Amino acid sequence: MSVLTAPASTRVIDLVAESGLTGRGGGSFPVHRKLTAAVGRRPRLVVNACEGEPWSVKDRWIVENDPGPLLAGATALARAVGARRVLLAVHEGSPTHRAAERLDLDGHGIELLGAPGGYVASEASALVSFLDGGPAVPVTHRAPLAVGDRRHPAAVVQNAETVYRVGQLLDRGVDWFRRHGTPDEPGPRFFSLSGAVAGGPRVVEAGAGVGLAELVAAVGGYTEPVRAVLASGWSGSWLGWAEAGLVPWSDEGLRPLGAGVGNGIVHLLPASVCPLVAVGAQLDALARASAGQCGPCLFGLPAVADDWRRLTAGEPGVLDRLRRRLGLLPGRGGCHHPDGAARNAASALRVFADHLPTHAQGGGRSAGRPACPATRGV
Amino acid sequence: MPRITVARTSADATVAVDRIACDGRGLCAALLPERIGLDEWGYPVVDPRPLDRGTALEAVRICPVRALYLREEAAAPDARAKAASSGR
Ligand code: SF4
Ligand code: SF4
Repeated sequence: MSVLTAPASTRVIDLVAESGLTGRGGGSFPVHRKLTAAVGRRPRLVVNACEGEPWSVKDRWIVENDPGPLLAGATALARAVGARRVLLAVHEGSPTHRAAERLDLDGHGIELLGAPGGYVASEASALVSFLDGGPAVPVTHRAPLAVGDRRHPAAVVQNAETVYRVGQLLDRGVDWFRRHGTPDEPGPRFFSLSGAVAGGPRVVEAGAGVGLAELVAAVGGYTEPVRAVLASGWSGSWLGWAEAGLVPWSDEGLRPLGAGVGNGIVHLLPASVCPLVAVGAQLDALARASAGQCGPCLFGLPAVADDWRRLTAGEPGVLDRLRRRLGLLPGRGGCHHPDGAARNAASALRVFADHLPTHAQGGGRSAGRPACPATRGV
Repeated sequence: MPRITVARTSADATVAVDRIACDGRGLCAALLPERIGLDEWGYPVVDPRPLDRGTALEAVRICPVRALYLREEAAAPDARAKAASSGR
């Protein structure tokens, strides 16, 4: 037995642990923990490049422009956890799918998994359900997915950027990795900038702790005045334009504002767009995207979207009911879909409260002479 | 999923709901009002504080779709993991 070489699995997982890499899909969960939980279970490794969030383009960018570290990372992780199958999950028919078909997946022992489109189909347990021959909707798993159960054996689902970072890490080392970001949130990471940016959505690589001004400058500045920023997409949190520029963009920096970096989406909402209309459209879309399996999601999301519509139309007495209902969504779905909708709406109430009277005075969009000067939709 | 052994009724337990399985008939809330309320659509709102295991088990047993379950602390995830890995 050689003393120089630890088993491949331990080495890669130790390196990932040492690097401090966290999931880049939104959860920010320490990557090595999921890997460790799956060792010895012959798991399936699912590299998730679905990007259910409409403004996220980072995983697509990786597959289209720099697939090398992604394939290397997938291969190394597969060996580390002793994976029996490795799959690259994409939305069927998406640009990412077309780009993935041009890769040498066979040569790397990777299968392509074309999942149906849709917001919740890319949720980790939904992908596992689909992989196991079921519908692409979230499934109950009282044990972690990486551990598995009788119906759904162990599966390690990692976001594509996470796997890409593992590939880079193995190539360039922990010291290089930790030179980026902050000590608590190390490593380079992608941000997807959209909204009032030229040619958006665009990808910017930076580290946690970067300033918003720097991110915006990297895409050539904003194209029109900005009112607010949506961090981490439709399931994320709204920030006022001024406050968003004053804090470092890390989970730690954004936490006091009730936000996090999440999946790296940075959406700049133009001042010419009515924020209440924009939020309303997102809440409607999130309600439609519910897989309709859980009561609080099936009934709660449309109720909240309806409250939002009434609130912005100036109907009295709605605000208290909306706040109460928002409190009943988090943690009460089979997946985190309701939590995301609640986060969006609650943060919108905080950031856009001052716009409510102005908007309602004019009766919103329907009135002949709206007091709300921002009349554009999304 | 291994069923909970009745031998350990002395300990405390917390109840949780499998949201995907629950169909909101509310029987659990009727049996365990001290921990389970219902929202405006009839779905359970669970108070996560521990309660007597025996009482919790009674509620678990009344759920017609087995959506209500005891949340095991510390020791249990391991037992489940073992069952899962030998499962397949
Ligand atoms: S919370 Fe909503 S999206 Fe998630 S599993 Fe339940 S019904 Fe489906
Ligand atoms: S008894 Fe079961 S199905 Fe009925 S509300 Fe309670 S958990 Fe849901």
